[in-house]
Amino acid sequence: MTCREFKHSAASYSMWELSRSQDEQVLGHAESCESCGSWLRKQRTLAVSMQTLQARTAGLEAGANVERALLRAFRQDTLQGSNVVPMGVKERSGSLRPAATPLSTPVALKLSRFFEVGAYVALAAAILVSVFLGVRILRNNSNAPQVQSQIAPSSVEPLPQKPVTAVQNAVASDLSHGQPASAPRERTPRSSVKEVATATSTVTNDDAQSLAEVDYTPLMFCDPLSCDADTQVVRVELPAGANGQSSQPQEADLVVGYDGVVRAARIVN
Amino acid sequence: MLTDCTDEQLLKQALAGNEEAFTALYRRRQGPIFRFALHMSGSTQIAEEVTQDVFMFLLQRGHDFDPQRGVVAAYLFGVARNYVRRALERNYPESVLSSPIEDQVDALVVECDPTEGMVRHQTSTAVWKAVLSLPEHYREVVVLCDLQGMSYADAAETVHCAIGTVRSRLHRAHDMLGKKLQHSAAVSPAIPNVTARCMS
Repeated sequence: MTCREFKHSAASYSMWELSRSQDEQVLGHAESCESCGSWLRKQRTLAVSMQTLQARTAGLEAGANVERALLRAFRQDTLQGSNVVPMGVKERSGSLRPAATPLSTPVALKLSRFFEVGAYVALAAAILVSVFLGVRILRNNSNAPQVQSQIAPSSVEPLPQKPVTAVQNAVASDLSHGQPASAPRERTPRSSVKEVATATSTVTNDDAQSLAEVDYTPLMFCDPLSCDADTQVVRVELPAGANGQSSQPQEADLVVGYDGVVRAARIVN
Repeated sequence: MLTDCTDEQLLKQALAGNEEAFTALYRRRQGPIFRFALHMSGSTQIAEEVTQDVFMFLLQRGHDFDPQRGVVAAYLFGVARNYVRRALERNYPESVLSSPIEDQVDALVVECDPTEGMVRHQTSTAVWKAVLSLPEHYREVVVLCDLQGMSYADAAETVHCAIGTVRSRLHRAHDMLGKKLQHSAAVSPAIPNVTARCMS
């Protein structure tokens, strides 16, 4: 036996796979060849060490917690029925694969659930949008009469065109005297004026007549296009001390144009 | 009754919802799977995780097992091999070569001669570390054939290669182990260390 044949056979020798005659040949060559004998001794030592390690670890097992966790999972799976093969299902070619593979079901199930959830979400979004729009429309409808009533409450009668024209003339005459528009604005700043919707009062013809006699303070320059249009006199209540003189609330008449801009104002005694 | 059943029969019953069959199959096969993972990783924690993962896989995908392609034990070892590989990729190198097994091994062995026990302990530890330092494809054939006592044919089925490949890998692994052990013996001889430990 050559050294090459010895190395080839030695692995099988360590696994006790060779016959007795081959063993004798291997051992004979190991006795005659020093290097091969040394190699065989190392392999024997290694085999003994392996057997020792195998014997020392032979009793090792997984902890009881692993078995408990697995049994818990098994019971859950059994309750859910996801992995349970129904009894009596015929196997195909002796395989344990169930007739209906449970792996293909979840994909379709997930897709159908996805679309189902998506449909519910879309429906809920549509309901929310419609409710929101409906509330807004209702609010707009309910606010419109209120605004109308604030602008022209039923108790307020629009002033006759003539007195208003007189007021406009008075305003125009004041403007023609060169009074700056900012001066009265300082006197009655808008921020200090608290409008009271209910403070609007009924203006009679007599009152309108008296309007022409009382000077209104113009609050803006009037051009013919804007000041010739319809105006309305609204009485508001000023908070106490708004003009810096009286501690009692005072009333004021405002000449309001069609665009909502106050043309002139006066303090009611 | 269940102890007489084959692994395939137990698996079939377990997949049908029989808890006792699953328990019997687990108790029959968890030891080798645990030891294989332990020998491959050197970590008790990884070995337990792999054991649990293997049987969880069996619960979930056990119907994929085809008896015509091999036995249940080889199937389980193949699954365990993949999980060990994943665990080592995840935890390497903290787990390998740490040898936490030594304490458990000591607890199991009762030696008549303390000196002889120390020598055996050192020898097995040296072999253990040498095995863990082998490349993975050499390590797994050593673990399967030398430490698990598996035949070449079963090992070849487990690692999905030819029997000749297993033989050549094992032969090469033995050469490498011999050199590693020789080197470790030259660096730290066993007997003097044992004496020093006993004196202390």
